[in-house]
Amino acid sequence: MEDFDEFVRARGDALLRYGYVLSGNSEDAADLVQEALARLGDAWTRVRNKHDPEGYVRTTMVRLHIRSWRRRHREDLVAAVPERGEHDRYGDADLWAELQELPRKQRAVLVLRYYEDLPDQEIADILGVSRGTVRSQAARALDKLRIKRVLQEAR
Amino acid sequence: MRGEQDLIRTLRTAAEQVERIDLAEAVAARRRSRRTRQRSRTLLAAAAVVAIVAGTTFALSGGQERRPQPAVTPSAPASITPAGKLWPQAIAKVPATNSTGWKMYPVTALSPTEVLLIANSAFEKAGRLEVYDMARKKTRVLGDIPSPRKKYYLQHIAVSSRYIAWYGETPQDPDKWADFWIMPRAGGTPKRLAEVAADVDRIGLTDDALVWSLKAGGGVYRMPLTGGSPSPLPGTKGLRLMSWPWAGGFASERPDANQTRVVNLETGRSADVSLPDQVEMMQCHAEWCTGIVDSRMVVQRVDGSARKTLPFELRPHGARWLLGDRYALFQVYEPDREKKGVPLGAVYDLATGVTAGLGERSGAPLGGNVGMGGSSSSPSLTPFWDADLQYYEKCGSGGCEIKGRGGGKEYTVVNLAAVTR
Repeated sequence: MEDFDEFVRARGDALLRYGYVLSGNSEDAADLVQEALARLGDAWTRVRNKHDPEGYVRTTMVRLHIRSWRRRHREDLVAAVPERGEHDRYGDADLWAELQELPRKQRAVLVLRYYEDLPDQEIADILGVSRGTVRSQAARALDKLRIKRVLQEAR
Repeated sequence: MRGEQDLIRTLRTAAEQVERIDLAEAVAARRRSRRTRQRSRTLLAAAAVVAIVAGTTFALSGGQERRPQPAVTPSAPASITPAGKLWPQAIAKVPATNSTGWKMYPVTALSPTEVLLIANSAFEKAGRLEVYDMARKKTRVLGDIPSPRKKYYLQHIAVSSRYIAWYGETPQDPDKWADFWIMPRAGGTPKRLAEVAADVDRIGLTDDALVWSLKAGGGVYRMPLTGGSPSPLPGTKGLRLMSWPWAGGFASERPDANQTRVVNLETGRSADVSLPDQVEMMQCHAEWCTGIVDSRMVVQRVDGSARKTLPFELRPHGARWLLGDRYALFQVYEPDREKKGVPLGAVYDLATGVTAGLGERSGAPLGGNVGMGGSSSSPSLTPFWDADLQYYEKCGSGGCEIKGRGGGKEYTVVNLAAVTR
């Protein structure tokens, strides 16, 4: 349990950033991280072979995020505007804004592939879909964002 | 047209925009409210949290007879020699993934040249047992770990000269349930021995039986490997299995409780642990114990003799730090992050004081960690680390963070069964 608090302190910021690229806003990011960490904390004393707590949390976060998309993705599509102005500080504000419009699953695939740098097979395992689905979702998302697919073939 | 590099850069830059919040408090609050909702199913977890909150002001429960305390010996700085120099024959490089790409982790040693590995098919989901042969430098599959229920997780593994046994649970279900499996040590199809309605803690193997102890209230039970009904071992009330035939009595149910008794379940011999004043988290092998007094590690025999205080650099590794039959795994405290050659951890021989350094910290305060076979029911014989995983600190406007790069290919393992003494 001491280890759990240490883990939260050490990895909290990194998990928040991951939550932010997944969800697109700080509020949902905090919600996702807190929920996933609370679940990890509850399991901490019971699941005794803890090899990869961070992987557990990140997987929980992306699954939670996609699951809530199934419930309420309509409102999200409407509310999909970047909430803060800071994005203009870098030149990719348009791309970031367009990312908000993707269905959650497609966006999650992109985050896992381009932010987490995971191979497609691992993404498939995390999302519980086939590798082919990962590739087609990624291709569709990249097309929507008008991004040329180059690295894909190497995966 | 944009390129994938634009996407990578956008995601990385955007990530820095997230608002930092105090997660520790928020998570604790969320867990408290969940517990209120699910009081019945999380009694154990709640107890553990209370115990840790109270951990720093922990006082011994009454009734302990104390012997006169020997004077604490001041200690010189730790003298740590790299494990590879002390025990070159015990060092192995084992693959971190199996042939299907599953992540593998060392569990414990099967012999001086064999390391038992567990391969996870998904996060924390044990799917297969394999063995690494240090002489042939090859991994061999022992067999698959079946998953008889949904959300089933293997919890602990025990090995004997003939069998490998484990038990699994469905930790997210409120009911108490566990099942026991054995597999020939050479590998093969596992056989389910029994299902029990109990909250199992640790397991072990005798020549002809499976033994286990319960989490709440302790008590050791036994079931013949040929099948049949479980029976309690007489005289084991309140005892927790440590490593067959050794069991321990503890001052309370709390995870940080002191071990107060060392019992040999084969001979029935029982010895009280002589506890130093103010000791916390005392834990014992058959002959040697280690605990914390005033933030310093102490080591002694069960009867309190040969007691010594260890150099302040040696710190506890988690809550349970015993390894093998007379070792402990310690963290090495070194606040100077630039200092070279600081090990990630140290294996300490409680009998001789020999201290073996494991790995080397890379340039960050949290520069790596040593694993200690979380799946092994007995104290593991195979501490391990990822020597290629390098940590570094990256600082930006939002503060500094520690990042890792590399690694994931193989673990360096110290096989304590190969240590000659």
